[in-house]
Amino acid sequence: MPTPTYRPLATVTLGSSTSAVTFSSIPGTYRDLILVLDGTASVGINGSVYFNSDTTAANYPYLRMTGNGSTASSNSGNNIWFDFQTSKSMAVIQIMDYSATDKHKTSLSRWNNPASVIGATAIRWTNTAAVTSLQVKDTNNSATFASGSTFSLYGVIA
Amino acid sequence: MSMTLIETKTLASATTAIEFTSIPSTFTDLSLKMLLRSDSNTFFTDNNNFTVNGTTSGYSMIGIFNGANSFNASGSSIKFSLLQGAQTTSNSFTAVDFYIPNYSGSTNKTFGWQSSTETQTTTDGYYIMLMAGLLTNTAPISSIRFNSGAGNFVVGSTISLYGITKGSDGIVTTSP
Repeated sequence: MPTPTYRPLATVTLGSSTSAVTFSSIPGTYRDLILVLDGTASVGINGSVYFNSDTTAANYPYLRMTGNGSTASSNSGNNIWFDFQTSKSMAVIQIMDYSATDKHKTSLSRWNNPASVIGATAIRWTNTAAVTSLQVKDTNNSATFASGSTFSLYGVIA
Repeated sequence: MSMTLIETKTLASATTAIEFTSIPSTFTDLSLKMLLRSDSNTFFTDNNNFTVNGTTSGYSMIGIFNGANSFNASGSSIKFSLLQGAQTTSNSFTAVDFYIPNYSGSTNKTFGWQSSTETQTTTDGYYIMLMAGLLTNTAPISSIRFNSGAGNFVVGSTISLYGITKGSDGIVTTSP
């Protein structure tokens, strides 16, 4: 089977509860980025990823499907990338062709809290700029990620 | 290179289980890529499951089926797929893409995976499933076993286990 090559770019392991995690100076030398989140939040949240300090929600339209163990649903909107809960949660977010300057940036996010919710999100940043930084935080800007949560960023070589 | 092939198991003879043992603890995350099929004389079997470290309690899972239904379960193992059986189109296999973050850490273990079958026939059926699992056990994962549950995994079924290592390239900066 073909194997993508991941290269570790940076990892943050929180030593205390924190509202936002930022990765900066991301080189444009990879094909895709993969962001892996593992941990918990202070309350159940919708999480966001902001590129290049662009925090305008309307610039991140999404379509997603979710399931709670009994029913499944789908919806669309702006600026919700993943859900994170107070019990163990994880998300794997792939950002395709992040350094291209001729296309909007498309991401696929697969996330879950095995105790309560699971989902997948397709999201687009309506901007052609290369992604050089990203910030992970609560969409409503009110919750924190718990101490011990990890955020790892990888570059994928095509 | 941070995504390293640990081992590939490709069946030369049919068997009821595929297991990886003595998984080194030197990586951060694990990824498994699978192509599996059962010789059970059905279209699909749903008795399959996986366990880690031989642990037989503390598992729970949640999933979405074809974007239309959601389900959950708990017990002594976790079902990981609808597995194609002998009545589905020949030479077609169920694909599973599996991710385990922080497998060697000292917290409860989470699993996330997708499973799909696309046989292009309404008789066979086709589906995509998105699933997640939790094991309320903090021991590092040193083995993982996939059981067919019904019949054998057929010859050619294959699972590759990769280790993923977190780290720094010395360029990207972070906050905090």
